[in-house]
Amino acid sequence: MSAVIVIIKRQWYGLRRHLLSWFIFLVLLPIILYMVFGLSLYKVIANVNQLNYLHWAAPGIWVSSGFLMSYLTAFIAMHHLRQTSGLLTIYLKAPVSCWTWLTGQTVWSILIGSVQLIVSLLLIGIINGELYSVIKWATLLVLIFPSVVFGAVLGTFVGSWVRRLFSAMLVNMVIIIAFLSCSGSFIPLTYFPHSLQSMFMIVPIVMEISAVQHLILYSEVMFSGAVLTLVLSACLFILNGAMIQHWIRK
Amino acid sequence: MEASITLKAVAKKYKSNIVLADLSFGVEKGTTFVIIGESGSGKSTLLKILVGLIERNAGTAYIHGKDIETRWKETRSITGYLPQISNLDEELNIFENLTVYAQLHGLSSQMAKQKAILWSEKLHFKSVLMEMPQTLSFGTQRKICFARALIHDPEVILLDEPTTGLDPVSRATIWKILDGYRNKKTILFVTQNFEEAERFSDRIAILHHGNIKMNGTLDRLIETTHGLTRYHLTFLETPPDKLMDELKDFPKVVRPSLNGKDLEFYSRERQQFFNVLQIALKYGLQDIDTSMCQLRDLFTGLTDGGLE
Repeated sequence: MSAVIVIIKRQWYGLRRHLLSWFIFLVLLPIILYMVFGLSLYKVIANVNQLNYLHWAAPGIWVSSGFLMSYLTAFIAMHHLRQTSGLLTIYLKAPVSCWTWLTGQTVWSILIGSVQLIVSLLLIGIINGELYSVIKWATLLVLIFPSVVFGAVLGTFVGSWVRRLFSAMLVNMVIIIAFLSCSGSFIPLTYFPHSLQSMFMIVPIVMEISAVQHLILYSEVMFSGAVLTLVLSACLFILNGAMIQHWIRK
Repeated sequence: MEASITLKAVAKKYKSNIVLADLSFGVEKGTTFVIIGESGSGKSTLLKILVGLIERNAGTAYIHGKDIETRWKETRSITGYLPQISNLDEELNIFENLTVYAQLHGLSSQMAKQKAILWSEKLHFKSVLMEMPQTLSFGTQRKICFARALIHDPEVILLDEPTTGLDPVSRATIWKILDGYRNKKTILFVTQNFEEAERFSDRIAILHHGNIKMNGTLDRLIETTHGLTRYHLTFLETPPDKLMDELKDFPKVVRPSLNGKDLEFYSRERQQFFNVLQIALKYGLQDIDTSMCQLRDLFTGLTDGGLE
């Protein structure tokens, strides 16, 4: 446990030198998502299920910003340690296992993603004038949190295994574009052909986003998407750990 | 004496390239053991295996009687490792580099800070503690890496060419620190610097193509040459190539080599030297130097076809 805290401390030391730019990014990300996707698509899709599009899209902004921040934090940190600088091998010389290191990195990315999520909830909530009860806000947080966890785990995985920067750029681009366009965050899934719709609907994170929208629309809570996202994250985490354990010390 | 490091039939290969072949040796507790070898002989690989950075393909290795694979946590916490290249974390300043590393080795935050300051004073880099590594010279970075390797007070110290790139003063400081650990800690260092190997080792091993060719105290190693002497003649002018042909008539003149104005050869018999001298005088001699075989000669001989 203490080693995990040291790893988180190490990440914090690195971040605090860029605190201002990080803070600007933290604030700008949800606003950019709101302006680029929310306001522009509002011109095309005024309402979704009798709900004003901007209100309907708010969960998409919350989930996307939390997911993207944790994903990018994890990817950049892991890619730097494992691929660019090779520092991971030096840190692993200490009596710290690959699992501990991976846990530290993931927890750190989840923390950063969570900060982003809270900032997004506040900002978009204020801009949109979302008036919910404390319980509803808390439920929203619980429902969205697994997407932050998934972003952290996925980012760590991609950062660990995609070696070249060019390949990493391509992979990141595909993940980000796919997430923003096909997850039902901004474009309602009903706008896609039936075959694609049914395919997207079985993706845990899409189920999770849909559950958040459902909570806003009908005040009904569905945890299946969130639970499945957590299960998927756990599987990916274990797979990544096992692969690092197997390959990194060759 | 008790063994501190034990290797039994350790082998490592990268694809078809055998780096270490069936390597077995032991290092006693509290002694300084040096491995010398040319580049690519497997010296660094050996240290990386001991420290758990790479896996071996065969064999077993123990540190303080503990298997480095099954009891890695214990072996790594008592081991300090200085890699060949300076690889400080460029996202952290020097102070953070040292404290993070110390804390990963189980030191408390307070103790880590104290140790970082202590080492910065010992190695004279206190003024750059808050600097970023990339702004420092190679020599300073190397000293910091050295401090990082020892910050958790390890019982076993593994050093990969510890003084490469250091100025003479820093070099002396590092050896003074290591000298202070004599008989207290086990030190295994690999180097290409024969002078340091001769001066600071209790035992020396010569590694060649992944095999230990010789292993023993310096005196014992030198003894194996059975009184072989190195002769070095310097000519006034570069002698003609036919000099080497003339030397072929003396089979007991070992490994003669002509490099510009310098002729070097080995022999056990003084008479052979006189024979060569007689020929050499024809070409005008400037200087003569004779010395008993040193580690450098032994190494060159072993790794380049032998001294016989």
